This record gives sequence, structure tokens and C-alpha cells, in this order.
Amino acid sequence: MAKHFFFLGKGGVGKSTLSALEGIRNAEQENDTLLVSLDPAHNQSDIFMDSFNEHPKQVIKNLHVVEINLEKQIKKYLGTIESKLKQSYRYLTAFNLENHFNIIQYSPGMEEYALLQVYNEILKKYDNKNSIIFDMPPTALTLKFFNLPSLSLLWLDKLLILRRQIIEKKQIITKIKFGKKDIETDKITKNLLEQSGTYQKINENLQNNTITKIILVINPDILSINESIKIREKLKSLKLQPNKIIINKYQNQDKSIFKRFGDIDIQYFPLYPDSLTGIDTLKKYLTHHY
Amino acid sequence: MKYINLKNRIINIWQKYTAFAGAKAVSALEWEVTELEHIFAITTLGAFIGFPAPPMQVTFELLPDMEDDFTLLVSRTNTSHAPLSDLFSVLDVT
Repeated sequence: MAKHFFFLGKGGVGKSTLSALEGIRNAEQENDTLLVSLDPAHNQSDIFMDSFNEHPKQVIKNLHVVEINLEKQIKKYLGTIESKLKQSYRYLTAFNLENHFNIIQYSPGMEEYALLQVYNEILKKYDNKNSIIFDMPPTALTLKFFNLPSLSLLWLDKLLILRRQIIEKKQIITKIKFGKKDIETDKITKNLLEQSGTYQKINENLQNNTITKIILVINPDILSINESIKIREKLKSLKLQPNKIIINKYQNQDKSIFKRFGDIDIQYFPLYPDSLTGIDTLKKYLTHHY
Repeated sequence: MKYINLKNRIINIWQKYTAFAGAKAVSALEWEVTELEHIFAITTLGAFIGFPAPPMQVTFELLPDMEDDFTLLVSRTNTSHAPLSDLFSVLDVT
């Protein structure tokens, strides 16, 4: 199974550059690597000085890059829901579903779900890769993405309890009325169980330290450090732990300020005087600093 | 003979009583099931009527299978101003 690297941190700390460097490093070690840009800013195009889309494009041997358009992903998802509704609802003509779904696009929570869907699809599609590197969006959306499986499971568990109560009582009614206890196949219970199974699998993957590697990128300034401490606390509440902290744009500051991160492996990446763009520049930087 | 007749009458009364009690129990239980289904509909589809709801995708995934529940939720908006009248009619309180 592929190893998944998640690069996260405050906006502008250098997540995209470091995930590109990690991609090149993995590729140079003969690991078949996929770099997935989930950041709406899509900096990978500028970093590699190339254009990317949802189809993997090879940039060097063993390294492919994809850039995911989240809006497109949301539309794709809503399209599948719409077709399911058309199949299921008898009184469809009474609703103006198309317009309704246009509004739903702006529902809160759709972005993190689109991210989760992409993650799931990538896992299924590219499990043959050795490494998959995720260049994550800024903090708020990334944390919502990590939180979504646990939050959904919490709701699904409660809904399942309620649904089972309904089924149980319906079975008692059938028994009293017709003298036998029918085993009812409830499509809603089935739906809840399917959803629950999917989220449990995602959570297991994310919480598995041998598969998932979370890399927290920090700049040596107080705002970035404070935000990273909050990220770490939030991850802890989700039973997740950063595997490594990268201090990017490091300029020989006192290292004692990073003691707050405890025993997590810390790596220092010095500030590069020029812009880190283009494969040759990235490779040169790697040779000197990784 | 007299004894057999009496026995049959007792059985007959008992059967009628259990049928009556069963029907009463079922109607109360059916009402309870409808209420539980209503709670389930509000919990899952609450976003449509301004209630807190699960993450949106959980609702969306359930929506195609919840036509009846959705109808129940909408029909309840008509009786929401007098929720006790429904209960009283089930319990035969006049």
C-alpha cells in the first residue's frame, strides 16, 4: 500500500514547495510518486513551471503531478446525487431540482467533503504508487477535512441507534398484527451502514502511522508557531499526530523556540535567496539542503 | 356440557379481550413509530427547516431513500401548532 504524506500548515509557509521537494526526493529514491495538489491556490504549476489538471502529468522519472479542481469535484458529486434522486423520487416533477442543486453548491461543508472524496478516489485509483504526497489547502479547510470522518461517524452512530429502534418497533407491530416477526430490510439502515463503513475505513487509514505521514510546515515566526501549536492540538483530539515538523525559511534563529513541539522530529530548511521554481532549481536545493 | 359451554365462553371473552388490547397496543405503538420516524426526519433533514443537521453529505446520501420521511416532515408542518391533539386522539382522550 502507498504511503500518504500530508503537508499542512499556515497559508504561505511553503507547503507547496516542500511537498514538491518531497516528491522529487521520493522519485529520486526510485519510488513511484504522485503529487496531488489540493490547495485551491494551485502553486504546483508555478513551482514546476508547467500546467496541470486532474490527469497525472509526468514531470520527472517516477514523479507525476495532479491538480484537483474542488469546485468541479463538488459539481460532479452533486450530479451523482441528482441522478440518484431522479431514480428514487416519484414526484420529481413537483420540484425544480436543478435550481435547488445550484444553491446546494454553496452549502457549508461541501469543500471538505469534496476533499474527502478526492482522497478516497486517489486511494482507489493510485494504490499501486509507492508514495502519494498531498499538498493540502490552508489550515481551516485541512482541519475540517481531517475532522469530517469522525464527525460524520458520530452522527451516523446516533442515527443508526434511532433507526434500529424504529425497525424493532415495526417488527413488534408486525408480530402482533400478523403473528410473525418479519425481518425487514430497511434501505435507510443499509445506507447508514454503508456510509459508516466508508468513514471508518478512512479514519483507520488516517490514524495508521505506517500509511499516513503528517508533515507540519512552520516558518520561524511567532504567528506561524502559535497556529501550528493549535493545529497539533486539534490533530491530537482527532487521534492524529504530526510525524515531522519542517521549519521552512530558517535563518539561524534560536532553536529553543521550537522546544514547544516536544519530541517530534524537526527538520530545518534554510531560506533560499531566489524563488524556488523549476525542476533544476528544486533539485539543486535538495542536493544542498535535504 | 354446562362446564364446556362456560369454558368456551371464557375462551371467547379472553380472545376478544386480547384482540382489543392488541389493537389498542398496536395503535399506540404505531403512533410511537410515526413519532420516532418524525424525530429521525428532523435529525437528518433538519437543515431544510432550520434545525441543526449532520454534515451535509450525510443528508445528501440519505435523501434519495427518504421520500416518505421527507413527506412526513412536510406534513407535520401543518399540525405543528397543535401537537397534543394528535396524541390525545391516539390515546382516546376527549
